[in-house]
Amino acid sequence: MLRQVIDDFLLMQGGITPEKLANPALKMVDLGLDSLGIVEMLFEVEDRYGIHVNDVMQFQSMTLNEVVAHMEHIVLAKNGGIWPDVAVAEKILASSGA
Amino acid sequence: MRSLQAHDNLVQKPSLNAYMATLFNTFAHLLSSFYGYLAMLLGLGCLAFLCLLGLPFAVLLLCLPVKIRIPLSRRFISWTLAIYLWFLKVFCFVRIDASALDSLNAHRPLIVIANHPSLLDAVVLLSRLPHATCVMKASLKNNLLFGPMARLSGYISNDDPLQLMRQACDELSSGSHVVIFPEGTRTLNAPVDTFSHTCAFISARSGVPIQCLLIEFSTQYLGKNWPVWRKPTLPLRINLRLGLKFTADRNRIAMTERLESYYRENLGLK
Repeated sequence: MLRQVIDDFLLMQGGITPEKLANPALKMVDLGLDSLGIVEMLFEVEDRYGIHVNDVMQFQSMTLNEVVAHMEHIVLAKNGGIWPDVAVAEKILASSGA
Repeated sequence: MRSLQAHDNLVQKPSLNAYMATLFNTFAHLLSSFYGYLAMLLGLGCLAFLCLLGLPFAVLLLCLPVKIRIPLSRRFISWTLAIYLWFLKVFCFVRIDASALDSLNAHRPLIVIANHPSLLDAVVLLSRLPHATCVMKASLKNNLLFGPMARLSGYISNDDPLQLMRQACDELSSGSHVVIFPEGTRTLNAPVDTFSHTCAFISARSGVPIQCLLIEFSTQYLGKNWPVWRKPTLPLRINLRLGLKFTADRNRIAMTERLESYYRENLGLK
């Protein structure tokens, strides 16, 4: 699900195709996102899962799969090892108008 | 033959009046040049003096809790810069019209953006906006003159985009002005250089509108291509006017394009 959120965000950015995202060796730097683009992607995840990431610069040298794994780890750590009910988070997001 | 000689005498020996006029012009030029250098030295010296004078106050501020320290240090910066600008007006033949800024103090929170033709832009803006934080170059935080008060005032460093976004949105949610120069640095190619997406992104994230300010200088004094030690052309006129206010837009790229076009259209080359 988290991977889907990230993929959806990236596909909305120009020049990124589903084929490109399917490559497991794909690095963030290869996506052509600027630093604000990565922050924007991070906010997409933060808003949905209620996590808080402090260092966004580390993502630039990671592969996309590593970034997803890293964020999933933070989400699980925040929720005591249980994957949160995203439907609830989506409702909160929708009600806040974000 | 005699008349030709008389004509030669007229050409070769200028009248006393013409001689005095030339002498006066040369003297006036020398005096004006000297005053230009004097004004520059006085201006830069006064800024350095006021910054150094603020250091003991900075130490006192350190003892205060953050909630009191930040608004107090921002006010202190605003007052200090207002004194500095008064000094420039009185002693350095600088004419500043920035009264349009005063009306913004009734409108908070607000993202305030401006073109950046000179080092003096931020000085003029912050002197009139006592509730403002400023997005600034990270290197300035380590500057002996500006660093201490900038740190105490919670000014936002541009070295980490994530922290910049978080801090700017927090400031806006607490009712501050956030001042940003969307070109990132002083203008190299007039009227404006390419805008970064930062201010549009902050606006999209916070939902706070963007107020445009248009700054015009009579010369490019302290611009990107103007060395600090080059004397100004006096009088230096600084005019600051309010531009459009843009409501927040989720699409930061489209918003940035609109902002940049607006500045290009409204800051025509003279």
